[in-house]
Amino acid sequence: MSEHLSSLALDEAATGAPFEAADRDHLAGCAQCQTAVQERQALNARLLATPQAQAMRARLLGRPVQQQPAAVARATLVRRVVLTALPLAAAIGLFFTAGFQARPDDGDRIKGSVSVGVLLDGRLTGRAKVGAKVTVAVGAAGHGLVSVFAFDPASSSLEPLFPSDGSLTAAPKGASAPVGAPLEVTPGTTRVVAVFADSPAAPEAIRAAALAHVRGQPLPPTFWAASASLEVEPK
Amino acid sequence: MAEAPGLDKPALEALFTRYTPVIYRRARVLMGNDADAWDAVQEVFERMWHHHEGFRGEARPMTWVYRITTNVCFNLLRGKKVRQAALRPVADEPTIDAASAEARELLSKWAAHLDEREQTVATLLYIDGLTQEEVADVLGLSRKTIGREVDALRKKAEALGGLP
Ligand SMILES: [Zn+2]
Repeated sequence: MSEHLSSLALDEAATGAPFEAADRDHLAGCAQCQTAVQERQALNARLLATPQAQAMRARLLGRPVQQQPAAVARATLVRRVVLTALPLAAAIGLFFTAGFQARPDDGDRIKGSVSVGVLLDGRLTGRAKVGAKVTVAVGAAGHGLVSVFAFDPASSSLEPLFPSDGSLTAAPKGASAPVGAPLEVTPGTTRVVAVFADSPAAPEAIRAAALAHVRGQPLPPTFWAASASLEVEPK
Repeated sequence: MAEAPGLDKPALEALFTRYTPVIYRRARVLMGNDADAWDAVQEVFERMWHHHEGFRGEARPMTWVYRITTNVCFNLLRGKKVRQAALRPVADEPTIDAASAEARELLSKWAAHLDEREQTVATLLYIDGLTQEEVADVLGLSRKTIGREVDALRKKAEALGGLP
């Protein structure tokens, strides 16, 4: 029997792209490669169902974004890592924000102040080492819903952390309670932005509120926001 | 951006469905983060639309996709149009992140010692796990030429303390 299919041939087989006769013959008689092809097909289908893929389809093909089942949307957490191929010093030094605001900053409006911070080993921190596992904590000040974003000052990009589709989720009670799954710290500097609300809102409106907050602009009256910076130290 | 001369909507849809997961997965490993991987996906498709006649003329279109994705990613990396990020959810798909971490470690090692062509060959061979023959197909080289390039690469790698 010839060698198992390479990554390239598996991709061809899984996507129905043209591929070589020898590979086809091998596949017909090899259960292992057949399984690998099926796994790849399942992964491909899952990827195409993500909100990111749908958004790209809309951008490239000019079609409206299709509504995704929430379970699929949640399965695709935003994963962002900085390239270690860049010199680490450059990655860390390029976009240094001013030191951490030890107290969660600019929570505003009456009903008590909303807040957000980063927990390392259960304590609020403004610095963390690359590779550390941290958790976001929020103080919802009585508001029932929250959405947490990561704002990247370098590219001005804002990406949802929890929930991963940028919607609102139930806010934990307490002055500073953990929300969402643990996060891994990678080189760079970021700002965690929490948007709070009392009633459901469209993801675009939530996102707009988060952007208004980082730009220092007034928020729509149905939203509250807070943010905290995280400075990352090398390992 | 739906304007692709000579390609109708169903054709574009079919290309998108077939190749997006492949391009994304490769780009995600090389770029190391989601947002940059999607930037790469967009750029690969823009090239595909633009050069669709050449693309359709390929006997093995997937080799074109591999080649262009690698080129686009290297360009993005060189231009350092790479997003900085300080937080990411702990991987829910450990394999791709593990592959990505390993790939980026290799890429950073190679970047210092190999020229662009050698980096491309090394990426296809050691990160993508292609056979020499496939690397030849992807790069449009004869199998004899690729054999020579791989030999040279191995010698260099030995001097560097080994590739995988
Ligand atoms: Zn096999």
